Amino acid sequence: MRSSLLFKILVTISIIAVLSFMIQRLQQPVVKTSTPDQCMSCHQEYSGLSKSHPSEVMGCASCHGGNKFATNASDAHRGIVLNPSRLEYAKKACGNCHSEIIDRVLLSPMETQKGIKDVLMEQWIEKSEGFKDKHFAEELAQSHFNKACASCHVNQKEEVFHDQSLAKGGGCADCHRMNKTDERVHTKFTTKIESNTCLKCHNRSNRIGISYLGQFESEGYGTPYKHGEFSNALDSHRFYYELPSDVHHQKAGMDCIDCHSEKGVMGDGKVHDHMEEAVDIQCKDCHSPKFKEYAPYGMAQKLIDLNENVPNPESIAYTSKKNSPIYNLQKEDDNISFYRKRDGKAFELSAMSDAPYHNLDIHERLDCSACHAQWIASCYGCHEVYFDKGEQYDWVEHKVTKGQWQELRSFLRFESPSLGIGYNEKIMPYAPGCQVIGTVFKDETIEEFHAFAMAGWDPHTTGKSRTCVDCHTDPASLGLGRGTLNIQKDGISFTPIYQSKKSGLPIDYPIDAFVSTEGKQFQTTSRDNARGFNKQEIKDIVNAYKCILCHRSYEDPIYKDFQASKANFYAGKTPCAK
Amino acid sequence: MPYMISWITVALFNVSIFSGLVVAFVYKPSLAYESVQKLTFLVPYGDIFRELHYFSSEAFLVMTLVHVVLELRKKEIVISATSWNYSLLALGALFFVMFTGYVLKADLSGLSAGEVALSLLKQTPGMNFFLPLFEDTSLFVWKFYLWHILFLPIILVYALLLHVKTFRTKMWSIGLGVSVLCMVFFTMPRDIAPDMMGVHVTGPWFFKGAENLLMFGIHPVVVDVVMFFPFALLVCYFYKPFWRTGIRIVLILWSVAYAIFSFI
Repeated sequence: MRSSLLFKILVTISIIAVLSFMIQRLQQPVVKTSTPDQCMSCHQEYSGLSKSHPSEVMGCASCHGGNKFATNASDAHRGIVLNPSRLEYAKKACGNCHSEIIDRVLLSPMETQKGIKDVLMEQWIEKSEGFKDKHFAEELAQSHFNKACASCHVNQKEEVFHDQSLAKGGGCADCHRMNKTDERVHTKFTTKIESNTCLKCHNRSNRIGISYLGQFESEGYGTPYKHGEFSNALDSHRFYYELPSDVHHQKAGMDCIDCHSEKGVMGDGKVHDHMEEAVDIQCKDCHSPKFKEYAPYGMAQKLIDLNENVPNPESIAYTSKKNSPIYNLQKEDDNISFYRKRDGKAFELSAMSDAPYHNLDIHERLDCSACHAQWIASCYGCHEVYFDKGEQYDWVEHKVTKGQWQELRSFLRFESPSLGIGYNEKIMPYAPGCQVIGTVFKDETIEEFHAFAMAGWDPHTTGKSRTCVDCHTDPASLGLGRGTLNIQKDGISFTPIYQSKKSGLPIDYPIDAFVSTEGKQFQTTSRDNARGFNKQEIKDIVNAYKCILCHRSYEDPIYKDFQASKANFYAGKTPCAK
Repeated sequence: MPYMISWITVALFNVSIFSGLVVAFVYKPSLAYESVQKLTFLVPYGDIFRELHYFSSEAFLVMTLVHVVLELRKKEIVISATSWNYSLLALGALFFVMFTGYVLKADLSGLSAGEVALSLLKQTPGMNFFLPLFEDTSLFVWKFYLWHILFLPIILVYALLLHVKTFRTKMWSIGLGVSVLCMVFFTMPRDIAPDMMGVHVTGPWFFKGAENLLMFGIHPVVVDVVMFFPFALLVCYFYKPFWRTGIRIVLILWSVAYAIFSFI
């Protein structure tokens, strides 16, 4: 009897439970479904990343993750990634189609930062003077890297920048993103990357990016205002003077990507020690180009299709270093055209001439930039001060940690480049890179160190060639520094302007001197083959002044056949030989 | 009252079988995770049947354990040796079918649980002989699927029929009611996408103790022994009447220890 009653009660409760549950569920609104995933049922307003990534076909979840089947926000957004182009997600989010590119980017210098870090470690630990403890030097170098250099990383967290207009990082989006202002609009990607994007990082250190645009960072003194408005401002506390820009920018308005190839920027799949090993393009690739037909479904065709502005030609040029397609340098029926990637505007390209100055055997060691760099930004004496009791943001740890750096500099100059033997064993422009004078405040003590180095690079200020006199008689060009060069029968002597000791520097040579007249190298370099001129090279360069005094122009007949002219001279057959 | 518990337990099994039949129409082993998600979010009332299947099965397991405890409290065993043995077979099959169901949802936790189970088999001497019964290199969930929808239900139904004699269809409404009440008061664990990173995954609750033992670095063979130990005791329980008090104490101690390991 009791059992029967219990049974009836349980059945009644069960029926009520089931019925109320069913009623409650049936009252819930039916969710509209969408294709290709359910995300679009709420986010119809978002279009895709680019023409080749339409959201109507790819949906959202294929890149952003989350649950593409879910019809409620909490389930749909579980595991979602706001920026799938960050490199930790890109392999999964973009890797189905772009796996090979991501593998390369992960090894590129913009990701590894190997060049910056290795040079910093080498200069501060191995080549510095003043440190009592090398382990402490290593700690300091690491701290400096984390708190200063590491902000320029392709995968830096963008949200940690106080001023979002200066934000860097974000993985693929760091370079490929077009718009960033409106959060309600989906990010658009492009392969037509503006130079300003590159300038987010390439505006300091050797200042290649801003130099290309003709911007020279001023000392910071003087008024930052002009006509009631901010004068030329790089950011809130850095200003620039307008100088002649690189001829490629001046005449054709070319962007960085017009020269720098996809492989050169995003990596070639190898880890490189320095940027110049990763960079693919060389002047001769465009000015003495080699054309080839390209495969219909290869990288060149892909890049042409993506660009949309550049035509499909018969053949295109390839880089000599890594055989990358320069798809905007094209040959069609013997006509050579160079197309600006931004808008497809065609330009006539001037080929390297056969003029004597390009063919002289005595100039075969010259890098193009040795003569064609109009000026170079030189930042002398970088004073790095460390306070162990201070705190500063760490760009690697992404939090404020102990230790604070303050960076000051002695002076900045734009000048005709000094020359030396570069990383490529060719003569190229040199400038400080870097001259560190360190002061460390630690445990109530003060420790000082210094590491003076010069570095060679193409300053990206290409223009008309400098004159023969400029290189052969200017002591700064020889790497001796600014001052007076006395050329005598028995040799040369040099009186520098800069007095390091009087300026309180811990060095006994001028801050702008790379070598002495005897060819003794004062400052180090960070490349195995790089060095200043030796004694014999200085002598040879200076000796040429005797000829240049009279034969100043390449129009001079002696340059028509320089070998023959030299032979005549040594045979005593020329007027000057007599 | 103990009879009522037993009947509700069987009723929950019936609900689980029939809700499972509905779920099986949508489930595709080749697109395991996707089909589960489609069932949950896109198939009309698919989520109700999935939850019904989940909660009726879980409630079935819980009620079975309650039934075992109640029966062990009795001084006398009133069933035959055959019925006792089939009941143990049913209990083992029940854990097994619950586990395969956990793998079949094919989310990160399900797939991970499957991987752990296969690794346990590989690393247990003698047991790796059974590996081909579960491992399928081309379609991970395939053999778990076969066990879950075919072999184990047949074993379970057969063993239960021999144990309970009748399925008492008039109790079904109570089984349905209990399942629905569970659906109202409890939340089914959310699926974790197989490619989701940075999330903690766990196995089914009844294997949590074993999972933690493995995480403590206990050798897999020892963990296997720990897991099969209660079954060995239950076999002895019927055939060794003089050991029953001791077996009860050991079972209580084992349960307490396993619960502690489960919650650590």
